[in-house]
Amino acid sequence: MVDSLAPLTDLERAFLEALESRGVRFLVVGMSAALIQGVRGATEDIDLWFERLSDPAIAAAAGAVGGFFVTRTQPPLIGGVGDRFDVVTTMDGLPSFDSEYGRAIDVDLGIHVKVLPLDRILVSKRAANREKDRIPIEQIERTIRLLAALSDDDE
Amino acid sequence: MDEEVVDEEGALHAELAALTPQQRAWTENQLVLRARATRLAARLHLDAGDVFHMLRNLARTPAERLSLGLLHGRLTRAAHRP
Repeated sequence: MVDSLAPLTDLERAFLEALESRGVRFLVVGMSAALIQGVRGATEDIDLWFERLSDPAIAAAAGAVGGFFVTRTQPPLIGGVGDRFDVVTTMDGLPSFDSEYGRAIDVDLGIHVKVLPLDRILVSKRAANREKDRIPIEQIERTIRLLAALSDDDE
Repeated sequence: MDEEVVDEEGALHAELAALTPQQRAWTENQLVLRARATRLAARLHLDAGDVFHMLRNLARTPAERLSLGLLHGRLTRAAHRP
């Protein structure tokens, strides 16, 4: 049942592979990143935070799989590869892409991607201070506490 | 009181013994997970049922967790569509 559910469509995976092969650095962030790390909840999108939105390789990667990248919209749009990738332009509370990329975790989603760690998602969501994040923040906090307790158990 | 506990344990053993090995393994795994959830919940001051579901979720692969979260998101959106 769950095993048959691939998180990414073939097209989505091909796009991420195209980014990877072109050396485009990005992070999976937001609620999708939290879900990956064990937070219970739901999301409709996979948020991507790119190192440089001006990198022409993003459009090239989209084009390579039949999609396109619109940069003049706010936020920029990735089209033609499904409708689940959202481009994040800023991450509240986080100093820089570089510093976060350095501490990102590597996750296998059928393709290896870099994911913002839970504690950093929490920092960002607290800084954003949005009403819609109130419950996810509680879920993230509970998961972090549980993971710490499990880690203590294992020692 | 002690006799009641012994009776309950005896009844559980009898019930487990009647299961197939596969059913028994699944049931015993659930019992271990629930006991762990209860212990952790007490330590963290969280709801034991909630912790049980969190532990089950953590047993899934990252890809499975994302799949379920996206599916849940899509179903939630569909349910709220007028």
